[in-house]
Amino acid sequence: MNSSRERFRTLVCRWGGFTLLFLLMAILETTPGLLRIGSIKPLFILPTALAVAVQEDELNAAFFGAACGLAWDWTAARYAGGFAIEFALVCLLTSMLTRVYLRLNTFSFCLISAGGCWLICSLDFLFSYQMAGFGHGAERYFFYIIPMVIYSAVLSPLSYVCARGIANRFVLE
Amino acid sequence: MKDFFSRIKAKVLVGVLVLLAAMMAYAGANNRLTTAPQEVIGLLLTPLQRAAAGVKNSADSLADRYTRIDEILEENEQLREENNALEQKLLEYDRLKAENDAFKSLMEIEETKPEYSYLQAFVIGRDGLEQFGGFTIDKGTMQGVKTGDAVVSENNYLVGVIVEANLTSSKVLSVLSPSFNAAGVISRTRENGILTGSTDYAFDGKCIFTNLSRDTLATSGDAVITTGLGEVYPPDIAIGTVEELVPEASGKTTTAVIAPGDEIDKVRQVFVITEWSNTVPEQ
Repeated sequence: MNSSRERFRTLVCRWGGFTLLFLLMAILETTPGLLRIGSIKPLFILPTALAVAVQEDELNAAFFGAACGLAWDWTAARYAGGFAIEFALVCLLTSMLTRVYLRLNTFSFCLISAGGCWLICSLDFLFSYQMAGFGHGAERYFFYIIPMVIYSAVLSPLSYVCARGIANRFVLE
Repeated sequence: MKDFFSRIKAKVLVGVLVLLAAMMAYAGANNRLTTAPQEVIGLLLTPLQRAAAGVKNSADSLADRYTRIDEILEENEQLREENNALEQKLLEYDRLKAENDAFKSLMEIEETKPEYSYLQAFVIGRDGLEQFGGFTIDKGTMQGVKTGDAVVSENNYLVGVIVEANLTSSKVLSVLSPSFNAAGVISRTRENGILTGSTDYAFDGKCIFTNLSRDTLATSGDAVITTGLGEVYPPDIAIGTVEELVPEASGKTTTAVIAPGDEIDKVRQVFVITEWSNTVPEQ
């Protein structure tokens, strides 16, 4: 009984920690003018979803990713569900790859983060910008989207270290 | 892989993905950005965003006091000179207004005066993916904001329109967006046109005023205001000034590049015009 109660408490603390981390990162991402270089702001919600994905099994990663994606749909004023689906699939894939192929450390997480950000942002650019018929697409992609991906990847260790700290502190046996 | 999909959680995940796709289709079909689960996220995030934005603004103001002191003193001197010139113009305006009122009275002309209700709001969120300066404010339907309400800056310049009103926050589409359209007029020459955004100028913080004639009388420095045509936006709201005139590709019309009165990327406080009407004053 004690061990199941302890397990439940650990589970609540673990996921509560991840949720608080996500809220903090969402605030960092959307606070006006914070960490802005020119017109480029870093992303924090997606790296946080990926940081949790590499600490969890595939399905938990996908569910958490979907929740993060839903939040990003709200903050970025996109149609509800678009980012949620993309995040769920990317986090699922990331979790699978981490368990099977990838060696996880800060540098490799930066690369995972860069890859995930590039994929999601490129899809968003395709659907929200190019297909909407807006001009100067190449300029927008190479001078805004790519620098934003790189900037986000450089700052992604913050999410990784926090998520790893939470996962190591509240270990489920 | 087969084992993976045989787990119950995997089936739940597939169900969730289908539900998310249905949500997306529903949102798209009803022209809504937000659905019920996101209203919950919004309720959680909005107070935190408000607090973070407040802290950031305070820190910026404190930093400004020490880093921009020379600039502020110079600006103060310029504003003092401008104020003196405006006071002179005000005297002339008062005289002309009195004359105008007298003539109107003589000819029995009635004038409609727009009545506005303003709701103050702070900018609490700007996402990195936002392409055209759109932002989130900390007022929503609970405070009387609704989709389509015009949003003006502290200095009463039009900065955008509400595109999504949630319970405690709202999304604003800025004047820099190509999706934004408002009927406007050059204040001095009374030439009508359409104010909209353009990817050619949006990233420089400017918008455009289209459908001016090829031989337009507008010049650099002319003010642009809304007309209220179609009763979508309130009339006589200042937008900005003409910066340059560019002939349109076909040569039939001219496009004016407009510098908004306030930099869209830097607004921190805005006012939402929640109610407005053109009324005839009682005699």
